[in-house]
Amino acid sequence: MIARPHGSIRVPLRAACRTLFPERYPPPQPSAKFSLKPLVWVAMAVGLIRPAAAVEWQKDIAVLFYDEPGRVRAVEPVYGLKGDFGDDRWLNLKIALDSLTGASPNGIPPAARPQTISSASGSTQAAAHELPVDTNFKDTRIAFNAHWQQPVNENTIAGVGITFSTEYDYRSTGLNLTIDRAFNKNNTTLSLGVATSYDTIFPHAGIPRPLTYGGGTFSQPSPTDPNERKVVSDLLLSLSQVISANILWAITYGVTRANGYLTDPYKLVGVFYSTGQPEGGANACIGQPLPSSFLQGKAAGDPVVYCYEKRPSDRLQQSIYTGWKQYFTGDVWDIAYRYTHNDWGMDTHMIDTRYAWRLSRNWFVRPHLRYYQQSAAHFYRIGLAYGDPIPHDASGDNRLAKMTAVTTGLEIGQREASGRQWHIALEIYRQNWPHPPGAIGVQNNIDLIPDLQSLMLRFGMTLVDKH
Amino acid sequence: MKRAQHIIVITAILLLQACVNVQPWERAVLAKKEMSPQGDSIINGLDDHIYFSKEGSSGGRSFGGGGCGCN
Repeated sequence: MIARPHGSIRVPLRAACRTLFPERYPPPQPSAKFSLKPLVWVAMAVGLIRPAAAVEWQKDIAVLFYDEPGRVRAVEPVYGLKGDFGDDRWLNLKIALDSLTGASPNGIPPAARPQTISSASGSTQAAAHELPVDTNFKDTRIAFNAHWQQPVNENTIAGVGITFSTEYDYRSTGLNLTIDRAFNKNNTTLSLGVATSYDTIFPHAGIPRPLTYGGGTFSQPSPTDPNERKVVSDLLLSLSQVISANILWAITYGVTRANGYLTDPYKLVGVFYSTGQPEGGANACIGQPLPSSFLQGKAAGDPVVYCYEKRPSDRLQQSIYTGWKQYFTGDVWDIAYRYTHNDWGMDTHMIDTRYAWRLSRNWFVRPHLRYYQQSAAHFYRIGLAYGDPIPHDASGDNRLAKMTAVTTGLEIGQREASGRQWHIALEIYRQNWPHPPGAIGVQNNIDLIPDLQSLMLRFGMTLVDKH
Repeated sequence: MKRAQHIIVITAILLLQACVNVQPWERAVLAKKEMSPQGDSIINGLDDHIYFSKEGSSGGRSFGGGGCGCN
């Protein structure tokens, strides 16, 4: 709308027609159609951007359906708007809605006998050898991003962006700044980016006291606070290099520091009976010896109680990400590798490759393969042994355990010369955990972290408006 | 030893960029949307959100799309 050259004439003409012929030209009704363009007008009003002679808008619509059979189901529609204001001035807007339902693991492994677990998020029951899951898992998240970039001199482009997301018990607000400088006849680009976000978590039942008794026979301790906060800061330094007329290569070094409340208030860690342990010790997170009647008949590895987890309040992650992109007479192959290391003791490797194979002038198929592996965090425990002293940090969250994951997928799509395109992809994501160390007694005969297979179906469409 | 490795990597990068000289009129392929170094930001955002909620590490390529209570 801002780019139409006769817009300033049309508006008073329409107003005059309404005055002269009110029946034929009724007043405009408020439109129910959602648009991000009002934000563009606000940005113009405050002088952040100025109207261009011609703006090319690219609209992206995508929906992701995610399904873990018997567990979490998610639907995430996304709407993106990208405005090309000319002279390397771009505005990117994106809004996403994320709706989750189903059941999520709570950090407690399956046991040889049925389990009943009470926690702040409700009561969970699991049969023998069955993974306990929190069945009250339900959330809706809305996320919004905006990013503006423009040249600041002949070879340098600067950008500023904001991020915001809110859900039932979580809110995040962030700011990012980027600067790109081109060298070597634009064959080399160096980029520097910094970002920070301020997140608040406010569970319905308050923040539980970490490593205290989560549920069962004893009364639950009162929460410490109604909410907690964390600050996440990122720094990215990137080099993009043109290798030839058909090949691009990029490498990025990143540092991420998270500080504050990094614990998951809904996750638990189990205390399991261990024969030979001194009864009357600190008793893991219980803090006092349990009556002997409570332990009667328990075998080594049977659950005793469940406690809220606790993670360190600081995490520093370093990463190297490198990607290679090559064009072969219509086909495009890209491959990327990422290594991360954090001071929680986790090292991860990820390799991701896609090959967009052009079937005809407009149609393409794109197979996708991704492999990921991680080592365990130093405070990850499949469970605590009854009688052990209270650890400084402990979590039974299997996302912190040693794990491998493989994604295989296939995408098919149609692309027109005008830039319009649509594509649909089906992907299978498999996660595999080895038998964790630290299992006690009967736990060694149980599949403590069952493998997981998820399905992802994604549809995307791109429309280009030229004015 | 580690310092020597760093010097070799930096020297290799500098040599690489010095010997590349693709002219502006040779960039028709590189200007195509599918050759964008960042890829499709909408699709990347959806994928990153799934992996962020299922794995113990994330990021490294670009900034995330807002925080999430999912991890």
